[in-house]
Amino acid sequence: MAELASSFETARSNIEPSDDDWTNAPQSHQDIADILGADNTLNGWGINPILIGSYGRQVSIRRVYDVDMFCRLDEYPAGVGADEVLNCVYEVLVETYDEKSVTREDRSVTVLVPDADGLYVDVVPARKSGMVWEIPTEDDEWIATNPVEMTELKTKKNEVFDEMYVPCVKLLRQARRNLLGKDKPGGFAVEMALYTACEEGLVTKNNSMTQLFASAMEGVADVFRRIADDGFAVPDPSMPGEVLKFDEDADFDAAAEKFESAAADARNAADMSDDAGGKAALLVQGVLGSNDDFENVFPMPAGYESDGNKRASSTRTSGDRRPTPGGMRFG
Amino acid sequence: MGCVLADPPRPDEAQEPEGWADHVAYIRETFINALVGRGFRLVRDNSRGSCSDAELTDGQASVLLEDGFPYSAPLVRTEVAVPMSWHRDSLGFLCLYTSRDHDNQPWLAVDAFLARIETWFGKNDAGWPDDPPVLDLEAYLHLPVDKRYVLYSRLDSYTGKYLKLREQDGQIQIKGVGKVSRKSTKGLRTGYVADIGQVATPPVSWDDLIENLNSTHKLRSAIERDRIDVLFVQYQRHDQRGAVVVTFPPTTARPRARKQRATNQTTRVPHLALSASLDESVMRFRSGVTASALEDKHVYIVGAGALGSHICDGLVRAGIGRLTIRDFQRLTPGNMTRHLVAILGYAGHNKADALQSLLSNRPYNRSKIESDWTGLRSPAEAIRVLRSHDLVVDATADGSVLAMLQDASVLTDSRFVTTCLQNDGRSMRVDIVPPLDGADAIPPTVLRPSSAPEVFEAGCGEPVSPTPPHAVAEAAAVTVRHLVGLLTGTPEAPAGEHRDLGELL
Repeated sequence: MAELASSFETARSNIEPSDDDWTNAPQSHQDIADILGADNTLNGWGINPILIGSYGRQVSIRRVYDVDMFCRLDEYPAGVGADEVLNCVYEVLVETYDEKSVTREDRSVTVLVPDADGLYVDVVPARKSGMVWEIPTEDDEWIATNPVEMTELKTKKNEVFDEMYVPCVKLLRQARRNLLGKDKPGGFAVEMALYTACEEGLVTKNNSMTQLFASAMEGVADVFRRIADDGFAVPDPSMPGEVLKFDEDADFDAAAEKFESAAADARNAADMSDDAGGKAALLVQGVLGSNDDFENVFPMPAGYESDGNKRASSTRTSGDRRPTPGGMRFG
Repeated sequence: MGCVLADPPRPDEAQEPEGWADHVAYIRETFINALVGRGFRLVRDNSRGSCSDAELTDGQASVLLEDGFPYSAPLVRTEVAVPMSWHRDSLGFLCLYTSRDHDNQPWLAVDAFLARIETWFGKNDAGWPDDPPVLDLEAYLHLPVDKRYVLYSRLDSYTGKYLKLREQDGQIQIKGVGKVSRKSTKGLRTGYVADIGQVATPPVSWDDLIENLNSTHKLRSAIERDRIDVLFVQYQRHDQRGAVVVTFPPTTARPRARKQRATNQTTRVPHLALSASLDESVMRFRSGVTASALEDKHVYIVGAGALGSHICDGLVRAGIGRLTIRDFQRLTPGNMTRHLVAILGYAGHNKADALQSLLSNRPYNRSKIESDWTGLRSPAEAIRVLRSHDLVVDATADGSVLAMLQDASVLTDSRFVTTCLQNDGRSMRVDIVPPLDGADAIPPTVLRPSSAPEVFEAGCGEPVSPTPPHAVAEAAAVTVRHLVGLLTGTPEAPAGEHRDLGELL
């Protein structure tokens, strides 16, 4: 059974948000929060923004193209519609950024942040509704969501998996980018499919990332297949009894096919013998692909050529190197 | 055990030869993967090239790979509560391997490595029943290190007493019993000798240590009042005694407020000073197993030149009881390249006297050493010398001395040893005269013409031998081995030994 522990750890490091990502996202969030908070109307509504989404849950990967800004309106007044809130946010932001940079979407306002390497911030107003929050819908209504709980669930799952759940989510997000590119479903769907697979017992705790990754790929492929073939509704873990809604243009059938094939490669890699680490790594490289900074985010293990063949010199094991003069020396 | 107290500098990977990083990384990754295959989880791996920096855990133990792996053992830390013991270092890592266990890097065999950890826990649960009494308490104390070095002797005779100490050139040594006056201007410091008896669990902090002492309050107070600069703490493991030294270096801090003085808390910062005993016993340990058999032997060596001087040193280090050195020549600076006495201050002194002076003041010396600055020329004296000593050694390379001793040995039915180098140092021999048990003498050395031109030094009547210093040291070592064998009744060979390395290639 090939273990590729160090290569997986390096891959995890290679897909971490870059230093620029870590700088741009919180800075942009703070800039926009300051602008919104300075507006009398929004201030009167008690605007209180936090970062949510993959960045907020700390499962985003390099590069970070967009972040979600959840603008809680703690003093939201009765009688104000969702459109009025979105319009207000739009007007405030467009005063600072130009119209080309600010877009009024159906359910949010998007800002292309200048000088932030193409980073988009998706500003989503939210109002309190009992124990959860509501965000605007396309038809001037409100729909419940619970991003804070979603973050807590992620943290608990990560604890249950001995801190290996979050790295695994990131690796799966990278696999999705490599396999599907800009096609939907997106990273959130992959993350929720993994969460569901874990809840169903398809994916269980494992000390080996090689094994966990293969199992996670199989679990996500299984959930995607059920969505595509059976119309399986993925439960929303943050709101019991509710189900998640994904982008309408998401092609789960194509995604399931890609993930099934990639999961088979990941499993084959995990099942290879110890001395076939290079060949196993080649399969994983095919699953995880590249990003802006690394031609292969998953490095070839030490001791192997780039084609996966073992180097002739890589044979050292305990017992090979006896001291020339023999033991029990004094010097 | 050895502890790395500071992070070593990371090597410049660009300076590494091609393939070296991959070689080390391959061994490291193989080791990591093997541990993961046995239930460990890779927590982090920031290794770069040949510099290892990784950590794995299975919930019970954490394994750390640091720079130096795979040639140095992994560090292992327990993740479950385990009492401090002699088998954990000051940072809590398990002591799994001693330096003697490093051959062949046994930790790379992962199953054996894990078995070693299991054995550690098993022995720890059993209280280490077969524990060797290693005296390395200082390795466990987590204190800043005082750069000064403390030397002591007969510490047990000072238990419970104050000592006057002298500090010089970074060394602190005991000068006598008593307290040093506060008004003393002699540069003396005050020490105190305590004893904490048997130590089941090594203290890891100053508070741990002082709580083990009798009169804790009194000692804290004395330290606080600047009455103790150096605290000697004796301890015992099984039947072995050791000591650790804590110092309180002078501070430049402002005088403390009265309120602060009223409290009983020490504000002087305790430091750990590396220390060592000057006791004869610790020197004797290193003299070899024959030391006790040599205690009552008297060797007479004629010729204190290069070879003879190193033979004398070897005999003294081996623990010879009495040594008489005889030589009529004076030591020149040129001699010092090969001679044991290589201090310019001895230039012009008689070789035997200089050697006697040097060796007598060596810390390991326990021999009674005498010198005679005259030459051995008298046949009558040769007879007397052979009869009155356990062994006579001729290191003169002087045919007159050798012939006289040879004849005298026949007449007195006694035996001596003659030793020399030949062929510019390529041949060396030790001859037992006459050989033991009627054995044949070693045939004469086949002499070859010297390849070096003859060189003369002003004041010398003979050309300077081109024999190199390392050949002298080698011949001396061979000679001492034979002498010790003869003196202890276990001769190496009946006629001695002849080594001829032949001509240079």
